[in-house]
Amino acid sequence: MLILLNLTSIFIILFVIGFIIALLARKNIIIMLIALEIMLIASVIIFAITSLDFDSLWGQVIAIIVLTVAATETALGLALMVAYFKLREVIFVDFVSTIKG
Amino acid sequence: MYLLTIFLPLINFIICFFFGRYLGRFVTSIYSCLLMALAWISCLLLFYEVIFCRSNCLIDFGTWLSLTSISISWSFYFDQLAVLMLFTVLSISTVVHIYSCGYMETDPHFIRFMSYLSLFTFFMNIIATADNLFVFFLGWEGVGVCSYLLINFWSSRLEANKSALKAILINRIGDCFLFLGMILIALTCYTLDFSIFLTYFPSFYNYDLFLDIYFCNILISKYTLISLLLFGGVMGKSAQLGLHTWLPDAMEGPTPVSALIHAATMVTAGTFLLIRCAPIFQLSSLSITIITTIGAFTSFIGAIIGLFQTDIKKVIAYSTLSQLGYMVFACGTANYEGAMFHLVNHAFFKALLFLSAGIVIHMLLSEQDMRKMGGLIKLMSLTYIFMLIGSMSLIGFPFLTGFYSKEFILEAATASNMRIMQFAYTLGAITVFMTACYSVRLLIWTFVGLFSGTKVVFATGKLHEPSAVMVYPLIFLAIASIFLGYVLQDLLVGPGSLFWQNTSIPSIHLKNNYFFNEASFVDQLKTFENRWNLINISDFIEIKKIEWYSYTSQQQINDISFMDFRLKLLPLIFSFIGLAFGSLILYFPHSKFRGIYPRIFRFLPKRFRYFRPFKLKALFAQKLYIDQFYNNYLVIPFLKQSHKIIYMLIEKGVWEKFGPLAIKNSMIRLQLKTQKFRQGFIYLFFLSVFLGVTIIFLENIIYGGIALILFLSINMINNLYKDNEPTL
Repeated sequence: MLILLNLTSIFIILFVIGFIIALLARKNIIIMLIALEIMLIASVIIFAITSLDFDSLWGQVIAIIVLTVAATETALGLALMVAYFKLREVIFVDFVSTIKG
Repeated sequence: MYLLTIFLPLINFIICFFFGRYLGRFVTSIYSCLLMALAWISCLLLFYEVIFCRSNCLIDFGTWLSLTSISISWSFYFDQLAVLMLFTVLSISTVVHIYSCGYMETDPHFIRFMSYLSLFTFFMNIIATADNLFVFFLGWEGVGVCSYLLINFWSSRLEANKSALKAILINRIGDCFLFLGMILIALTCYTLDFSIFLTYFPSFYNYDLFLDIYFCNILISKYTLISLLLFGGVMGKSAQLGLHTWLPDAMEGPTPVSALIHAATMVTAGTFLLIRCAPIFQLSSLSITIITTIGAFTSFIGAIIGLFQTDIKKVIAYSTLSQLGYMVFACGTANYEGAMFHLVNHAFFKALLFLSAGIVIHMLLSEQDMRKMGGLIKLMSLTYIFMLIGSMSLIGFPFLTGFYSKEFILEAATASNMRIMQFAYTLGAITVFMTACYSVRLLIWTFVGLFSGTKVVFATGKLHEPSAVMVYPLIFLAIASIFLGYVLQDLLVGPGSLFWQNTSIPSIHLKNNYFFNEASFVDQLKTFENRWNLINISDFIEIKKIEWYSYTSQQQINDISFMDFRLKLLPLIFSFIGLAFGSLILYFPHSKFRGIYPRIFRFLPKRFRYFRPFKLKALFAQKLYIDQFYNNYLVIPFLKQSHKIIYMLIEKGVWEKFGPLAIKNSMIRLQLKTQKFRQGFIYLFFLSVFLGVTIIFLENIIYGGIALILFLSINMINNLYKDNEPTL
């Protein structure tokens, strides 16, 4: 239980860090993607730990699934970034809403 | 064959309505007449199988609605009553289909007209053969809709629009009553099948389980309530006094429509319901009294208004009203056989009258005013013969069709001992007199004397016999008007006839002579029992009940058959007096003795010489001002109040301020406000997602946070006190 609690605090810290980075790094899309990754990893950690604690493998399975999804999502985000870079020759996303259609 | 009879008109409707434009006018007319004739022939086979061979048939298509406590199925029941009704409907419908090919030949929407006629026939077939009240109601509403469509067929005429709306709205009033009655039956018996609830009510007559209920804060017997509600529907459809105003106005439609719908079949659907649901009506003396009274007054007032109408179709329409009154009061006197007999006969001779009037109207270029006719006997003698046969049959001239049924109805009213039936008999006998008068008036004004129409009509009108397609079907009707009563008499109302054996009628006949309020009867028995202490009261009631039920239609027919001959002759004498009176008064101006007319008045005192009861005449010519009364005292105040309350207060007020419209408007306003927050920055989307999730799970997050803080603090405190132990 203590392990759980300590690692829960790790989860919270990681998640808040990711969130704040995502909120503040408003210009660089790569940093935003990394922040999202951090948040996902935080949730993966809590899944893995609870699976240890409950003697169930499902949490670890879900952790692997979430990792896959995260990888896919990052690939998509990078692809979008490349496309955006081809269009505007920058990767700052402040005015990404101006491309519209 | 059973289903062909019902569904051929529907097939005809589908073909005419959807593909008629590709087939063309000629092919459609041939096709629809042939299909209707086929339906009629299969109906004749049905007549043989069901009525002569006595094989009733139930066709069940399966469940339509299945609710928790009530299940309604698509089923059609072919008993004698249904097949007789089918025979009537399909005969008239076939004739009218053929006739319409001639009558409507120049109409641009001829195909649509034929399709509506077929649809109407289909719904009428459903009414005739329905096995439960719900399917019956489907047909009932369907004929209402078809009546609306057909009255409004020439929809560019304002009068036609008004009449059609009037017809359908007044019918809705009756339908509301009928639907309430259906609901009450369903609540009482948990079924709407005729075969079940019609046996249910008489069987439980002596049980107090559901005898009295509150309706509109009045304690009323359930039998009385159900029968009165059903009779409300009958009043709407069969145009009984009070809800009759739509029927004369419905004559705005084409004449074949008037013949088929507003004389022969649809208006008799109400009477058919009375005959079908006879057991319920027979259980309540109050409703019997009301039915008899209203029927008698309808027949009387219809005839008296018909005497003063000048429109040829309206005269016949009021005559229809009068005959419907006869049918309904025959039902009131428990003479259901007579009512059904009169229904069938009336359909034939009234269709004949209407169709021959249609020929006159058609040939005079849509002139309907009888004052602008006259002298047509030399130009259209065949039409005159048809009209004469129809009128004589209507009057009840001996050994024509109408004679048998009308006399039978009046005799049954006389044979009864109830005072109200005697009253109905008196009104009916006077009506016989007036029927003769207005029929003679119609004949003389239209066919005798000199032509008094406009020169235009005389020059351009087709003042000759119409084409064969309009005449030949009338020959069939004329033959039926002469012989049908004689043919059907022994079958329907003859002594010893087994015709009604399998229908609902003979099992429920309560002898009117012994009909009384059961509660007072039981009270009397109780005092009797207290005095003598001899008889067991319940046994006595059982015996009495058996005596009631054993009075079957056969006994009634026997009573009528062996009545005093002089009493039986009385209505006939009345009708002959009316015939003579009407002929004398109306034919006199055309005869060679017409010079005497002013000389008679010379001998009269001066105040009688110029006596002209104008106001009385206006009263009857204006239909007793019933329309005006409804308009001024019911419709317009109601319209004003509903405009004020329902439209201004509720629809424009409450629903717009607080209703769905208000929600829609407020959503638009909210959306306009929130639009300003959308800047297009990704981190703001991110934040809004996070805030949204936070708000949704706010409660969980707060409690979860508190719990987490508590856990962590406890853990820290534990750690403080247990330095030596490893944490992991």
